[in-house]
Amino acid sequence: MTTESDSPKVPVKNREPYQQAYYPPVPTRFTRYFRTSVVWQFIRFWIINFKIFKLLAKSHG
Amino acid sequence: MARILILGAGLSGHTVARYLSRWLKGSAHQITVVSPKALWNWIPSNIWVGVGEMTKKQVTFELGPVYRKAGVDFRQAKAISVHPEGDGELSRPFVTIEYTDDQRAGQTDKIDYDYLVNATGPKLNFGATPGLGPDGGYTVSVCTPEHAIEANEKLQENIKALKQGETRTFVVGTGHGMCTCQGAAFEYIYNIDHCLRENGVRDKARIMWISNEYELGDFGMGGVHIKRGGYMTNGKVFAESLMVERNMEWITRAHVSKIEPGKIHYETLDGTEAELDFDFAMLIPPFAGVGLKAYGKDGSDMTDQLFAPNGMMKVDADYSPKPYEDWSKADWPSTYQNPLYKNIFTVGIAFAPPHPISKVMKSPKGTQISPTPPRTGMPSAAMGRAVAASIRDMLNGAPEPTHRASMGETGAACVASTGSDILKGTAATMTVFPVVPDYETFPEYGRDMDLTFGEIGLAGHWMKYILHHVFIYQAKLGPGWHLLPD
Repeated sequence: MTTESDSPKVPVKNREPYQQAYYPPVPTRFTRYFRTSVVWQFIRFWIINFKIFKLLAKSHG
Repeated sequence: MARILILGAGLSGHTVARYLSRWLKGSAHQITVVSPKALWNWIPSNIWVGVGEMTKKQVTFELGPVYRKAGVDFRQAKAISVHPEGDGELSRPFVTIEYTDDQRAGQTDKIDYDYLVNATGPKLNFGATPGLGPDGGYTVSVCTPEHAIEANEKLQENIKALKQGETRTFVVGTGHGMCTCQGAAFEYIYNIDHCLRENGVRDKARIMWISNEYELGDFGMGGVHIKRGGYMTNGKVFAESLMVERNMEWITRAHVSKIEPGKIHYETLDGTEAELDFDFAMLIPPFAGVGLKAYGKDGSDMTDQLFAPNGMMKVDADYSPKPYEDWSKADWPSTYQNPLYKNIFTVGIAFAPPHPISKVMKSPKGTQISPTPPRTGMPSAAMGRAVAASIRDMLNGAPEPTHRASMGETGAACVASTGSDILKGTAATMTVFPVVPDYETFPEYGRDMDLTFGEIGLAGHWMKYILHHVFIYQAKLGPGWHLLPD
């Protein structure tokens, strides 16, 4: 097992600032987990269906 | 007895045909559908064909047997010209067609009508950009099943090279400054990313988005606002987040001017002219009308009276040019009836929009770099159903169209797959109401914020998969099809 002190010292470079990817929000692990959580997504499935049904009803009304 | 002639059997034309065949069943009225292709194609699923997740057979079916079951006269042919007043030989209005089936290929015919529905869809105008497209060009397409099959073949070749340790650049987006249908490209880029990850080669690939949108997430609708994380945020944030999460780069405000083998030349709104190297590129072509001509009784060319310069047919829209600040939902058509000939209707991509939805932008050179309006999916079905209902009522004596489906009063739902897997897949589900912003009713954002939302998750993937089967079942006129949503 190696520890941090055993690791070869690699000089850390600053990343080039303010690139495209600097600004947009990136989902956290928590958010990503819920995007594929079967239980939560099953609930969202019905909620999204209901919302789209409302959209359809209004569009065809 | 009246004859209703429908040109085109895509989403909108087939919607008109299936509703009229149901509503006019048992009557003496006759419905004829003219379409150059023998197959109906559920176009959204072409994306999955383009990454090898589905076959052509899974996204198409034969129209002939379905129309036979529905009592519809189906002609596999392409429409050539419209003669709304007839000609020297035939006093009734008619359309000239040219058959495309094996037995009668090249033969022409005249089909007279009492009501004409133009649902011819778009001409995929690859020729607008030198080097664009699979036929004689250097990019692939997912617009037809055949194109998508070829796209997948090229994709698999690149995956093979990546597995051998090579690096590759994938470019996806729009192939011209005035393209629409950004959603299809948006969906395809995520499916490529997913496919590369599944093959364990994503780290060797650079994935780039290029489009004519002012900002990511514009989609030709002038962008969209949604509620997210306690804020009203913009579709740009939503779309950029998706790209950053997957380590993609993007170029927006771009007009692709020329494509050479391995090199895309483009111009941006600020006047910059640049090049982008690629190994694999899927760029959506601009759309034009299919090139129908129109002639008067004396044989005079009256194409410019029925059609806009882009070849799309004029309907009940306000075509007077006006500045962006004065654009209104009232400019948009609602009955889709031709102003000159009240027995002609146009639905889907075939109708001429009064103006874009996104603000028109031009580069210093004068190149227009802004998307044209989308009319596919739910809006196409809504206008098809409305026109079918109007024709039904006019056949029963109504003096004018009875049903309306303005894009300023109807919404759209888009489910873009971002990876296909029953447990780990996701999709971006987005809805917008109305499609054309209505700042009179919704002064702040132009849209109903209860019906306009965006969400990413597995639920969207389930919906996308279910919708694939539901819409194909409905299009095949399975029992109870009319109870399903359009």
